[in-house]
Amino acid sequence: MREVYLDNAATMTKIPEAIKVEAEFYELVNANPLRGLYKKSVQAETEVEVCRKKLLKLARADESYTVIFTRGTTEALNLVASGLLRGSDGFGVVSKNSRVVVDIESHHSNILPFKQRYKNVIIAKKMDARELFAAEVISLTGVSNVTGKDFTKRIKKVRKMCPKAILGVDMAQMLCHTSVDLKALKIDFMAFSGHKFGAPMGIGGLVIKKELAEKLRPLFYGGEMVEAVSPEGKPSLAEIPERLEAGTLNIGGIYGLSRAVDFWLSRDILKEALKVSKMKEMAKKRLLKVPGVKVLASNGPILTFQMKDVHPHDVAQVLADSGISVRAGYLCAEPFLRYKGWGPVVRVSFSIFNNLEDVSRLVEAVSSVREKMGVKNVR
Amino acid sequence: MYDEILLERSSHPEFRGDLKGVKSISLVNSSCGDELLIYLKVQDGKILDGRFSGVGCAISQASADLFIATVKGKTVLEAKKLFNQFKTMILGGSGDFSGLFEAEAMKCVSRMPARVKCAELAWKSLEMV
Repeated sequence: MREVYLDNAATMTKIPEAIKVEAEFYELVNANPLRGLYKKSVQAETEVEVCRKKLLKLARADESYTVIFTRGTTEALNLVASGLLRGSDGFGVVSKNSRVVVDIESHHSNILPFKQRYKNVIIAKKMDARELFAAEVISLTGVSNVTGKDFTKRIKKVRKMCPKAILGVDMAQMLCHTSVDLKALKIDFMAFSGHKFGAPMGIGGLVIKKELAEKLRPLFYGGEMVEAVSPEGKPSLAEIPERLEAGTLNIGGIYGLSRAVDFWLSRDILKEALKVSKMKEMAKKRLLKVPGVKVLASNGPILTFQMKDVHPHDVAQVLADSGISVRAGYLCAEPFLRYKGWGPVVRVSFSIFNNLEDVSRLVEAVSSVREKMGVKNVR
Repeated sequence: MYDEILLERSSHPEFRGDLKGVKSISLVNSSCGDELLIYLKVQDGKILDGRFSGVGCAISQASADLFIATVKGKTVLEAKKLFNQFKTMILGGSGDFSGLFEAEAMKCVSRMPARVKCAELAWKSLEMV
């Protein structure tokens, strides 16, 4: 039985070329970039810089931005939250009493890095003047991982309302899923994960205004982020971006990321997104006819639903047994699911690698859930 | 997929309800969103009776029903020993699980590592007795 993968919002099916070049890097190059004087090290270093440039192009960011590589969105947001805190080391621009605003739609990764470090974090529900009042740092969801909703308009509105605040966006579900234009959004930073758009896991980053990056405290200290270290252990820190990228970077991941970015740059992202969304719409139409199914949200590639009298984890377990991979539970966005009064849900998320046969397999499997769980039919 | 006993226990539980005058023990498994209230009537170290209420997945609810069925009439100490056996079983370990009687139906959870927390939720009430 062929497995049908419909958990692309958790991690997208990989772009074949992206994982091929990752393996090839280790087979053919396998050199640590920076400071290496031999050809392969220079080659690796060149690819890192080329990848930064491609990412800026993908996000339509101009020369005023730079890219900091991290493991992914979570690390990038932790770097921002920690780095912005003013300290005796001269880094940071705000205090732990500063008002920080995140949105209720946030993934846990956009709430906890700030909640852990700031005393005055507002989880905004309306995003109105009262909630945004005196906000010094605002970090918003680009596209919800629960509903698939695109918040581009809201981000622009918030920018207008708070022209002086440091404004950033969690783009884990946004980059390569919709049109991203940092110049138009006028934001100060955005965080992303490569694996959410077909690149390998373990590589992502922060696209950030250079001016702000200069003020960020490094999250990690060690090799590659210093120019020199005195006999007493006092470091002279490197320039950005290296200053914020301690340790050996995930170069294989960067090769893969670079190829994934090529893949998306060579396509019309909006057109591809529309194709995926149409596939999901077909699934929605057919699922609505299945007794007991209640669709809670349906936007872009994401469809979130519940089934009457069957817990979402049991629905997902039956689907798993039929070779269909979906996600169930709180989707790392527990505050939002509780706020909506939904509780745990089942989430189906499509990608360009799915097809109409996958839709049929999904509908067939969901139709069998009630019988397999021994629950009597409704309607 | 699920054992038939498990499905039967989740749809027609024997011990759903509460016990008057017995303080409930509240348990939450936030990975699934399972919530349980466990009522255990304990006298002189012996579990005389038990009930449960709550919402959650079939595994958490069936396991709660089977938990009461298993520990009713046992001492708290005996029940804790059974919990150790139960944990070994759902984590895929080997051993003699016949002492768990019907609760052996939860063995299917050993193939579903993400569901271990659902299965052991009710049993965790023993840590709070």
